[in-house]
Amino acid sequence: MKTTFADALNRALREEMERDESVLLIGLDIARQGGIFGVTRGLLDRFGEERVIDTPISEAGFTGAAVGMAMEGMRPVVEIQFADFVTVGFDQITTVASKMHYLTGGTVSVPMVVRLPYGVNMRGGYMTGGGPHHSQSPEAWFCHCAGLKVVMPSTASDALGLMKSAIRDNNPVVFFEQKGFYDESSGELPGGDHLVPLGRAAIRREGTDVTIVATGVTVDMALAVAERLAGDGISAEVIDPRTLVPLDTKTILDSVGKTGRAVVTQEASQTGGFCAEVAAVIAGGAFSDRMAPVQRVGALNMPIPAGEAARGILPSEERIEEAVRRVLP
Amino acid sequence: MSLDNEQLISMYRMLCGSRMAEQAITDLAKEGVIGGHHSGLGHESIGVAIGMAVRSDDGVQPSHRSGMMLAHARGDYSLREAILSKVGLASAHTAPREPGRSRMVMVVGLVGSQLPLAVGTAMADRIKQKDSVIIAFFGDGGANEGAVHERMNFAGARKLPMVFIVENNGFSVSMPVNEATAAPDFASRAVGYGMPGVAVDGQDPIAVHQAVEQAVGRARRGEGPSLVEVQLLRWEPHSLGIADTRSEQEMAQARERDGVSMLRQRIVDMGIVTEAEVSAVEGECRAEVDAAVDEVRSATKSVRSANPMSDSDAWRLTFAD
Repeated sequence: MKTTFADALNRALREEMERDESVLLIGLDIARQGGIFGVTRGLLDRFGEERVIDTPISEAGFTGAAVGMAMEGMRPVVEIQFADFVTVGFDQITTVASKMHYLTGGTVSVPMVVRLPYGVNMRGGYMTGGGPHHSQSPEAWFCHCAGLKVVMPSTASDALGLMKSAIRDNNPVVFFEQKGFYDESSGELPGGDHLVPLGRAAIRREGTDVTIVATGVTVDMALAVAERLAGDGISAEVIDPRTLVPLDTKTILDSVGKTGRAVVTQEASQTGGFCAEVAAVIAGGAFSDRMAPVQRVGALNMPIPAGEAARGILPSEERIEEAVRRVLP
Repeated sequence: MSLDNEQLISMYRMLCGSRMAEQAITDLAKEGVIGGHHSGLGHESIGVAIGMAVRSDDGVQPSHRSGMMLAHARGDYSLREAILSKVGLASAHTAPREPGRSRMVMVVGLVGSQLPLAVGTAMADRIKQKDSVIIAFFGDGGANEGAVHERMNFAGARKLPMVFIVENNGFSVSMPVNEATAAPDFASRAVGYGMPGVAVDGQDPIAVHQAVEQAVGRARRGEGPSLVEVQLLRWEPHSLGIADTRSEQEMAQARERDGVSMLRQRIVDMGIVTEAEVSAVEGECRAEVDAAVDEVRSATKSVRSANPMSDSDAWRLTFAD
């Protein structure tokens, strides 16, 4: 049977719930329904309603309740049904969870994960092209808030290993899951207790002429572009940070130190986005006399149109390739 | 009445002591010795009465106004510590579990935002099969926040062992209650959450104690949460540095009902204590408060404002290991 990205996350939750009885799940339609994207399927039967908790539609309420449970020694994993809906629970993550360790003088920690299904799904399956209120990529909002860790996997294997690490982390972790990934094949997943540490980037393809830093769906785009450029004799290195906070700046700077050129790409709208942070890290830390200006490729700054029209505003292989060619000598 | 004579005397001692301490803190704040303060003058009855109605393993999420009186009644702060902690000369009660102190639930600086934490605490207690009760305070201002509605609804649906206290002092900063809501009171909102709701006079500590004791008992028996609205009028402006929008006459009227002097009269009239005995209690409280104020005044400004933590230690607190 084919396993998917969603199955990889399901395995991560199941393994951690089996390993540690303080791990519990809370969210909308996660118990009987198994989550609208199927990530929590079967977990109610396995772990019971005390640990797989369906709640009324009250994002501030249940996200904040998870903070309270985390402070009492539980390890809650919150599912926000769509990342867009996190706005109504935002206060509980940014005001309450992120500052609690500091406020209590380090005597209380908040080990919780907030799962955010985000982005435009242009790959088929449930909620394809969901429009302005079901398609956003709000990772930058959380990167800006001190006290939160932010994770954004681009492969099923990383989703598995990063989720397990996020659950074991003693801080609030905001975990971004691209909706288009859920139904895709996971490929062969690593066996055993597969952990991917937070704060370590992956070099997806090695190269010497240009560095492309990409997150989420843009990783595959960057890899396709790198493959095409290779045909023209251009060697592109593709880096997937995987964890946005804490950011593995060393891997990025080592790469740009080698190539002297960088393109940073993201699915989210460009202004004030995570790309800008990476571009600033590169500008501030990569000293090279042949350094070209860093290019960003994000979505246009506008509400995301519904359906196929979304393609017109999102990053694409063409736009990434164009940016790469701009930075080359 | 479930309070015996000894408890009534003890209640009066804590009420008059916290009145004196709160007056001293308010005065020190006005002088600039304390950096900022939300005065709780007039809120003594609610804090002391509820502090006496809960167990030390019950989790209380206090308010910024009656929290000191509550902590004093729970035995967490002497009058001296209540005053000295305001200037860093005694440790403030800032974390949920501190050695020798009763259990608190953390507060945050946004009214209403903290209520979900209290509900999560009650959910965790249920999973751990504890028989403790979680008591959450919010004001007439916080009562109109969305997070409060969300969680009272959920607590009702799950029959969580909780008591919600609406500390209604008539105003949220300058907004009068009757402009903030069309409902005649907050207690009636309980119907919508499927829980009992009762409104009590916030200057009658015996009534507050009785209402909260009943609600706590109900929660502990597994019968679900309750809402207790405690009605009073704030005596001082919202906080130091903010002028009150009420007229002087209205401010004076707010002070006409005083739970501390009313309980004094009541226990003397009941013959529980003599006038001389009450005066002796007051003298003891006065001596403790005056000595604490002297301690604050004699400490140099640099000692009072000293931060025991270095910047780099504080920075490291951003994340847990």
